[in-house]
Amino acid sequence: MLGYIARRLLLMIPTLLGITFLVFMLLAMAPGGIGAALRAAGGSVDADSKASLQLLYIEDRYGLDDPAVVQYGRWLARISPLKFGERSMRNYAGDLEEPPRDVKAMPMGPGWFAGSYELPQDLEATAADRNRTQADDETSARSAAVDAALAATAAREDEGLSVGDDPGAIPEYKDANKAYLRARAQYLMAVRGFASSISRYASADTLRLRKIEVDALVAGGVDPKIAERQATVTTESPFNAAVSGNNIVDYDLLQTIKPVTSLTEAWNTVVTGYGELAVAHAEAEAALLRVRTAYERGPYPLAGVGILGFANFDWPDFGKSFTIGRPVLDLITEALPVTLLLNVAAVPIIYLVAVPFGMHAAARHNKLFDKVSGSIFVIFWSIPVVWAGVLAIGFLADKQYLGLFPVSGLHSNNADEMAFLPGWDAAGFQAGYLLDTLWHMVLPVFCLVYGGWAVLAKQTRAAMLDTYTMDFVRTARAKGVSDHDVKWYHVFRNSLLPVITIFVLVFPAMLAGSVVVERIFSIPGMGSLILAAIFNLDRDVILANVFMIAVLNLLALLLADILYAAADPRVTFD
Amino acid sequence: MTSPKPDSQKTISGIDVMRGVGASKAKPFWADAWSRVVERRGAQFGLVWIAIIGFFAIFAPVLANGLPLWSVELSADGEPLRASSPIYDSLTATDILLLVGGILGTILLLLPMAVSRQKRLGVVCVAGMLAGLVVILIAFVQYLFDGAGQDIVAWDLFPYVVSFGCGAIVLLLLFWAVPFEGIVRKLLFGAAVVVLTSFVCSDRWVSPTVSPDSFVRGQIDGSQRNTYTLVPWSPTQSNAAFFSRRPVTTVAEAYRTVADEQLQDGIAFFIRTVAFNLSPRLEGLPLDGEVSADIVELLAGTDPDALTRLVDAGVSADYIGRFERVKNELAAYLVSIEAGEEARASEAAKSAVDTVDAIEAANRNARLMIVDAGQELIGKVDERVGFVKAANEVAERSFGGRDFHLGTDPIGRDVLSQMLHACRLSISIGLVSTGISVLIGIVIGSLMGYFGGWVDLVLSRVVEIFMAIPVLFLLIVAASVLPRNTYVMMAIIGCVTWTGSARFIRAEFLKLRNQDFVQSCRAVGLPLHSTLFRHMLPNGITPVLVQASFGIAAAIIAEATLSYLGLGPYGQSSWGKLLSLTTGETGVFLWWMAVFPGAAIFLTVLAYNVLGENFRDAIDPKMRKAAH
Repeated sequence: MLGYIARRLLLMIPTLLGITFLVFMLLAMAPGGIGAALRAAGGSVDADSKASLQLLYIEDRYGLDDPAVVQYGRWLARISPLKFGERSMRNYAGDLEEPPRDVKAMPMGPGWFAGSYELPQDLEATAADRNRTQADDETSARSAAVDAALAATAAREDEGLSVGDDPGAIPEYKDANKAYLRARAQYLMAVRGFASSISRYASADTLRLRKIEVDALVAGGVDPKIAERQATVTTESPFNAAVSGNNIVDYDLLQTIKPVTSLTEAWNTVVTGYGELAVAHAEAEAALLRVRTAYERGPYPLAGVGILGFANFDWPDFGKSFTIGRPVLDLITEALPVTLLLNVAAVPIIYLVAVPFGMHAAARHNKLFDKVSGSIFVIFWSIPVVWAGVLAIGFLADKQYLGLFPVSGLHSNNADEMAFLPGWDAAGFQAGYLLDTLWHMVLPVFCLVYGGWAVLAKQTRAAMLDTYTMDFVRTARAKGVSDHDVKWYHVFRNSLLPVITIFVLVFPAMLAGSVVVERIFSIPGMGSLILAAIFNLDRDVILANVFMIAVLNLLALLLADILYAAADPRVTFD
Repeated sequence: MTSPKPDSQKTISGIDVMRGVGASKAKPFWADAWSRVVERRGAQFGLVWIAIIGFFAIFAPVLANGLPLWSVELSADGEPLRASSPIYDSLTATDILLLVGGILGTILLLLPMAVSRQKRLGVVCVAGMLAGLVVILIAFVQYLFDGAGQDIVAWDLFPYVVSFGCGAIVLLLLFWAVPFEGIVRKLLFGAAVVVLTSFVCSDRWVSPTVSPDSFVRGQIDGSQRNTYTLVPWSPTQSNAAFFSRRPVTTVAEAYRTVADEQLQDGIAFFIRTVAFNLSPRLEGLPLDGEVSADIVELLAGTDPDALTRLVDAGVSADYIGRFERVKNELAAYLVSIEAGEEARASEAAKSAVDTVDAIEAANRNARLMIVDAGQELIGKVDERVGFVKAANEVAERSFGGRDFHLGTDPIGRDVLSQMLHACRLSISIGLVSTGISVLIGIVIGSLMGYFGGWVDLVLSRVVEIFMAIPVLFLLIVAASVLPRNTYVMMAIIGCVTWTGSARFIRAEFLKLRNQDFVQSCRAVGLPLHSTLFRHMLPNGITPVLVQASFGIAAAIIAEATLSYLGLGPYGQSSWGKLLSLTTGETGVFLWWMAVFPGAAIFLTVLAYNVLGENFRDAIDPKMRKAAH
């Protein structure tokens, strides 16, 4: 049996890879790709803005310019508990501090400019100059910040509190890291600026070539209008081949084309853009040097447990929601209890209603009760949850009609001020927190259970009917065992097995059902979280949720099989 | 097999039985199951309901349309100039093909003919499939050429080339499916269907857009004489006067209600502006949110306790008196305006405004707002006259007598018309997406069951992938990132829900693969596809086909849920979309928006579920044994 479980657990891995890959690729098919929402926001932002930092975060995490498969690989490496390469650190707030990432290489060297146009010779010097003055400025600012932190540490030491081995390491690292992030964001913007200057240059070149073509045609006696149309169709700058939409430039291809320098204005933009790029790159490199030194001082303890020096075990890193800006795991741990509360209330209700009805229907097979309960359950089964929810809210909760139940949410506005249990005070009966919550749960839970009634009652009835045709039941009847005893001791016990194992399958199904129910009743559970994430294409939240639900589901399936075999000796693990 | 109901009640002897008295011809498996199913009440309900939905799916554009069936243009002196049928002009290629196919197919199926009905059904289905594929292919090509190559698209022959090209491709790929003997007949029938489809598609290349409103205006000013269909509203036809009207409202009533609503809104606006802009420094008037709310209640006369509450809050008798006066004047204003005495109404409004003016406002801005609201209140008198005049004018015309049988939605579109037009989406989503899912399921399931071993292991992981995550999640993710149109929606639902049928087929094939006939197939060296789909599949497909009925129901629910969440196809009426408009933009619950579309979804799902249950019972040998 252990072997069976181990095999099933191993087989879960390809399934999990498959499901996350499927969802990842679906998200990558969204118009504009994965970071579309952010890119749109970052279209015209300066390097200091929050959006550009967020864009940087996403770039770091996924490398948005890479193909989707590579991005998926990166995501996998993050959630894998076994990690290779340089170890990250974990700061005292529990967040990961990763080793500083290298600055991306310049998209192309200055060689392209050589021959046809000389870059200003002092470009590198300017960069170094700018860097030096800026570094001087920053050194003074930085040392002020570090000094303040050191003073604070000294104060702690005076009070007899413990300080680390290297008290200056943390403020220095924080400061350096911040500066590095900024420098990289600036570099990122410079890369985009250069790309767009190239694309503008390509369109200018196209216009130039078309003009030449038109002139040649007109000189050959062609009507100017026709010549223009023809040129529009036939003539295309060779640079256009290197530029695709959204300012993505194929630099390898670009290097092979000789630049045309007669387009002064566009060309100047390109040169300036390249200068900006070189400066930003040099700055980012300098900042990297500083942050690397700061990181190697070891401001925080290493994360995870190392194995043999080349790998380490650590918790999976599910990332942050970019719309809310909080770690995904926090969001899930907040939302999950709400959904669990609904489901924990719903499952017993399903069983308490469906099992007795199913049993009774089987005992009265083809009698009136069987037929009526069967049709009622088919009707329940056919009611779409959205309709049931809308009707329940409209007629039962809306003040316009009965107004018996609350319309939305899980608690009243003043729930925090309530006592937990109901009671009486000066103003009369007070519902209390518990009753208030239960009262809010009535309609959502009803929407969750009625479909389950039909499924479970049908299963119970079928299982009971199956057992009723068995030989041992006939024997028992022939012996003269009473109907009651046959039903309870012979049939019910033997049909209980499938009913028990269904429990494991009901739960994941209800998790899906709660997506709609939570939306209708505005309950802040898993369903609402997932829906909001999907509408915003918040990739980390969607993937983490999919991963978690898939694990939950697969474990439930495994548990169902084990329970089945454990409960029924006729079933073996082979 | 003896028929369950012998023709006569007379006892028959063994000799009679041997002679064949009371015996009937044995029927093939499906025909037998069908005859059993048709006898049941539930199944009859299901079939009738699906037939009704199918009828509307075909005829909705003709039955519910804001364009006139027949429009005659009149000259100034009432002489008919020329006539046309705007409905016919506005039909899309799909509409026309469905109408032609629906009518011809029904005739072919219902007429008594020598050829068996089963075969004729096969012919109709194949013709539908061919035409459908051509239409889908053409739509895809149109989508490809949507942005680029303006020169090609502008070319006159482009529609014909694309239509007939697509038709030829479909014909060459699928002519073998036509259930006739001989290649020539197959090709001829297929070509006939494809040419008709291609011709209609190229004729209606761009869907015509004609506004129903121009015909309404023509009718009203007497330049046209229009004959309308049963439900004279297009699903997209909207009007500000028709927002959220109850069922069985006529157009004239809708206009009249607009006049009343404007008046009520004006008064309410005035009261609110006054109550929330009074000075908080005023002697004897402690102003905070609650007092302001109570003033609103007092002036509107909605809460009789508001007066005592205001007195308790310490509002001086002076102010109470003023508020009472304003209230009475407003009441007089309302009464006189409804009685049609404009002069008295204006006077009452003016005196109400004057009384308010005597109270100090919070600041200059607040004072301006109060003055504006007062001017508006006085202006409402003239406005009201205009509205009533317009309503009376409309009421005199035939347009005013038009009914909204099931009310309108919050954007002013007729609910019944939208529901009829949504039938097509419901029927096609159910059938096509289930067809896709069964097809994928059969192919993958049969490979798993026939080969076993590592093929089974690998494909089982694929099945597990789709089982590991609730189908609804995948649907929502896919629907939110992919283009929102009906075809994509069908494909998404089909590609996500195939695991059930794959598992059924796998189980059946595992049982079948060791049977003698499969062994002999292998022994004589039949190709794989022949063994799998020609010999094994007919023996193992029964549970999948029964399950397909539940699959259709599930697909309809999935579509409704997605549409409710706002992820449904664009530009297409849908029951789920209507359901999502229930609480409108104002947050008021519109019961007719919840009840009718919801009931349509429910009844359709119920019909398929009941049909599936009955089919399962009819062919389940165990149940049959228990029943006897």
